[in-house]
Amino acid sequence: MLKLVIILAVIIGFFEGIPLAREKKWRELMVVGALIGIALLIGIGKALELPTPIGLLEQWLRPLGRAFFR
Amino acid sequence: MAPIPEAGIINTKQYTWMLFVIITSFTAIQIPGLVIFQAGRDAWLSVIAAWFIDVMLALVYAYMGIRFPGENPVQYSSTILGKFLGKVAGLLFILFYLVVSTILMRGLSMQIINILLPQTPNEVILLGAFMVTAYIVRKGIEVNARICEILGPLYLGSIIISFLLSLPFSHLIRLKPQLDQGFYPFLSGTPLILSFIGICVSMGWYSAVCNRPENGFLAKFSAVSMGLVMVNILVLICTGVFGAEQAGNMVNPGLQLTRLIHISTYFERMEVVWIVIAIGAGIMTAVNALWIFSLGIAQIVGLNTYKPLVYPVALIAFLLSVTSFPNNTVYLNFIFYVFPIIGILVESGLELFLFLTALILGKRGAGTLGNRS
Repeated sequence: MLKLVIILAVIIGFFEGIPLAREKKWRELMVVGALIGIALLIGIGKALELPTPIGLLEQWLRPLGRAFFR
Repeated sequence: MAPIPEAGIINTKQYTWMLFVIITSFTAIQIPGLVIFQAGRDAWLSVIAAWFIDVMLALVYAYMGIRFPGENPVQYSSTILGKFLGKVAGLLFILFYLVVSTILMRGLSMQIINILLPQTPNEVILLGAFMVTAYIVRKGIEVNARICEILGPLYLGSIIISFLLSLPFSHLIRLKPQLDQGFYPFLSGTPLILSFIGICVSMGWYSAVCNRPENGFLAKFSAVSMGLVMVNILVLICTGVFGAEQAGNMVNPGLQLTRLIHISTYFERMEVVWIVIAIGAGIMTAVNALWIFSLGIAQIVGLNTYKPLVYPVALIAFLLSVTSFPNNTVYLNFIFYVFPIIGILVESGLELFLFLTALILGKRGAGTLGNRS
């Protein structure tokens, strides 16, 4: 899974990053890099069996949901 | 506030079909089973109550669209709350849509595996679906609107035909007695369904790109009424055919309903036609959610375009879909116990907070309400 994430991140990085660098759109390039970095962190987190952001949301809110719904 | 980094314009008809597609596809596939599980035979009353509250909420969104012309919720959050708090509120709105695209696609992949491709890994289906989604988002809002304009009537037609053909299997006696356990089951089913149909608060983003933003309420009213009539008939027929106990324990009672349909011995397995259209509509809903997220990020950071962000955003949504739900039970627990709370807090709570703050502080948008072309 982590290998797939790295491959996809590299492909997207080249596909989006090179045109942005050519046009000197550094701010856009930084945001694209940050989003790819977040994706890589999620992939690495999964490989290390860390909880995902949605898993954390579930841990916090599920008791409230169980109190309200059957 | 910087101008909206979306050059496309949609018309009122497209606006209505976009809302219809996202309401119906997000609600019709799995939610009827969950509402029947929660409210039993009274589930149809929950749908009616949710429709009423949603129309009231639409008034607030439509009013905000007129008070802040040309601004979507991310933009008017900053106008109302100031730079920092406004960006936090805007981020909450768009993160909600990231969660929507994640759970919607996970639900669709679960259906595709259960019905069509039982041996295919979840990752393969999700990767394909997110690639298609990202490709459409990158084409802009006008392409998205035109697809919904074609798909919406097809989806509506397929649902109506399915209902008509499955009606003979339904028995009214299975809907009786009503309210036998008091009002709590149907009142608690209302926020459940409201949180799912509430994703049509995306009208806040469509109003900002619509050529006639003053028609926002009319478009939303038409879309939500059409969508919820379909969902309610689905709930009623499923309860009438399977009974509340059995329908409430089905993951997708609508699909089981279409499985019953056959025309003599010539047409059988009609569910495949319905599910293909439903998957198309589901993908378009994910397209809308990812468009809102990408556009929101671009606006919060202050970029001139959102298009380079689309594929990285789709990669994040793909990873969240794959990694967050190890099995279908975890997924179903999330959409039953957790998503309604997030939905109500963001769709209703956050917007009402912005509405009241704008009224108290007397904040208004700088733009004018003119027709765009």
